[in-house]
Amino acid sequence: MKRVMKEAMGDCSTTGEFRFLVRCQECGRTWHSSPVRFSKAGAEPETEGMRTIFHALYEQEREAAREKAAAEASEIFSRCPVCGRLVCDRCFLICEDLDLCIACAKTLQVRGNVVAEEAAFPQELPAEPAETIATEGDGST
Amino acid sequence: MQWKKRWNKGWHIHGAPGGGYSIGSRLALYWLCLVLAALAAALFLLSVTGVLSRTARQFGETAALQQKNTAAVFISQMDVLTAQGIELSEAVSGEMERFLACRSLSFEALNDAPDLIAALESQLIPTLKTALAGSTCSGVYFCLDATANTALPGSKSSRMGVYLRYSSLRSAHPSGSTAYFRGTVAAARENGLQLHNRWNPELDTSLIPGYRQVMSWEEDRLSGGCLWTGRVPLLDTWENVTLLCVPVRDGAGVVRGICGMELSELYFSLSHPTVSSPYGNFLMLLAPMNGETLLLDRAMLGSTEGTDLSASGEMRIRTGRDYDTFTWNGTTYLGQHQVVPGRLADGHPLAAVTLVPENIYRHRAQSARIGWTLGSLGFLAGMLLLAVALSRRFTTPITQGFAAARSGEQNWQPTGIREIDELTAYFHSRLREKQAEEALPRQVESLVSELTDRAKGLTGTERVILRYYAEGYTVKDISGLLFISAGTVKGHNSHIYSKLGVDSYNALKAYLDVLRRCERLEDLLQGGGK
Repeated sequence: MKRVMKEAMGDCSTTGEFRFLVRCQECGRTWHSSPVRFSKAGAEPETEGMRTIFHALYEQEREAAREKAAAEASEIFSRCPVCGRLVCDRCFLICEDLDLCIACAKTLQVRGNVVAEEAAFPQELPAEPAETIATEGDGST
Repeated sequence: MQWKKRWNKGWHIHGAPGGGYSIGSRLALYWLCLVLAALAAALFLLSVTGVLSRTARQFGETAALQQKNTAAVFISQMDVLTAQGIELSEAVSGEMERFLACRSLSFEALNDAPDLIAALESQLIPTLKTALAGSTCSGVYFCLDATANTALPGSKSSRMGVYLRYSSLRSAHPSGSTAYFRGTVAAARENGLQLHNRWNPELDTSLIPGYRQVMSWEEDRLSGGCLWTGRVPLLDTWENVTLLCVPVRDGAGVVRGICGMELSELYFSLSHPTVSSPYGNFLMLLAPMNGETLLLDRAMLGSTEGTDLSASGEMRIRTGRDYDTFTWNGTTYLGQHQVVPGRLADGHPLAAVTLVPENIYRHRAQSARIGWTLGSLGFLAGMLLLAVALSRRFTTPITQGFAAARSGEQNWQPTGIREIDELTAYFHSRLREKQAEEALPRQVESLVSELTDRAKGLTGTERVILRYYAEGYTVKDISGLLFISAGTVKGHNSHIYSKLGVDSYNALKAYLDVLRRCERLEDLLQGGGK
């Protein structure tokens, strides 16, 4: 799942911080990962050697941030088993037999509950605490 | 110790039967059968190879024993006849001396004196008859160096004498009339003797091998001058005889003639019948030997009943380790031979021979070998069958016992083998103890059953997620495995909780743990899914 997510993620990092985005292929809303600050942000390399080292360090931290972003995205994105698209929890339904995206459920005339609404129930979850979902659509971060 | 305690406990509680046989005794019987079968196999191999029957060696021993008897019989017969011949010689000498002395005649006066010859022969006939009656022979004779007519051609080999023989022989103990074979008619008439149909007045000495040797003998002891002629044809008859020649001397010690006994071929055959043995009938021969050859044309044969052997030709001898092999006219005989004391006119040694035809021997030996082989084969088959029957009888109760032990049936039947019955009883006691230990408390059983019933309402995806939880996966893991978001997993969680009637993840984990310990987890994960 993480590999699929990493392939689907876009990179919107700057020289000072790392940030990635995933676009829901159903509703089109964009999810941004939590920004991760580059450890050497603001520092100016004095020599060419330092510049090279900074560059290598930047790449290394960006890959780590991508991993973290993929894990975050896995919290709210699912892959529809029918059409194979990545869709957000607002566009993914928990159905009786097979969980589907809204479009496929409509096509197949299958009824289900939207996950985002289901997740709103105050049930205790076993794993990590719920992440903040930041989408461009609702403007929250 | 614990095992033993449990064992004893089970034994006393369930009271397995104490009777029956032990495995040890049955195994001992089984192994005994196998050992006997191995012995039978060894016997079979030895029989097939002929080692066991040891036919050659046994035949050699039997032939040697028979040969010893044959030689003893021949030597005894020849010795007795020689002694009787010497006695006859002395009697003839005495009578002749008295006859000549009474008439003041010399021995030479007998030539060309038929009356004197007839008178002398007449006087000697009672002596011959007595000798014939008292001897184990078929005829007696004496022959003196004189002739009735010296002018006749061939008079040099024609000599006066009397030859009496039995006219008919039907057994080895001669009886019946005495035939007058040689001698003057007047002497026969005076003594009431019937002339032989091939009668002649005098003997033809040219037909008696060794006559000259005996006549030229000059030593004191008569026994030294005795010799045997070997088998010779009897003039003008179909018969063959062997003659003992003993010198007849006058008072001055000059040899004046010969006397002795006759052994006819028929008489010899009747005297020496075949001797039965496990290897066929043994034949007995008395034959001159020339190196490694028996001269059968001059041999005396005992009964040859059942064989083609006849007194003709030569028989080659090949000496073997256990027995000798004799070849005659392409036919092989087996037996032994031995040189016996006795002097033949031609100087050849005499051999006593015991024979059995090889084909009869082979047939008997083959029969013995087949008998041994079939016997041992039958014994082997019997032992193997017994071993198979015993092993079946032995293993059937064991398999039944194990089946009873596995089935756990309470009313199992004892197998009759003590150890198996004890083991079965022990298994049953263990089974009962285990069942008692494994029984769940009633409340837990109720809870498990309720959970299992509720699980029937889970959807396929929820059941998959529940199985992942049971296997220890987290929400994040399940999200990655199913390619769904953690939110989706959590959505399923809420359904699972409500359907199973649990209120938290920890409670769900506790229930799953209980089910796993009770070995009922699979019932929950599989049973009654939609």
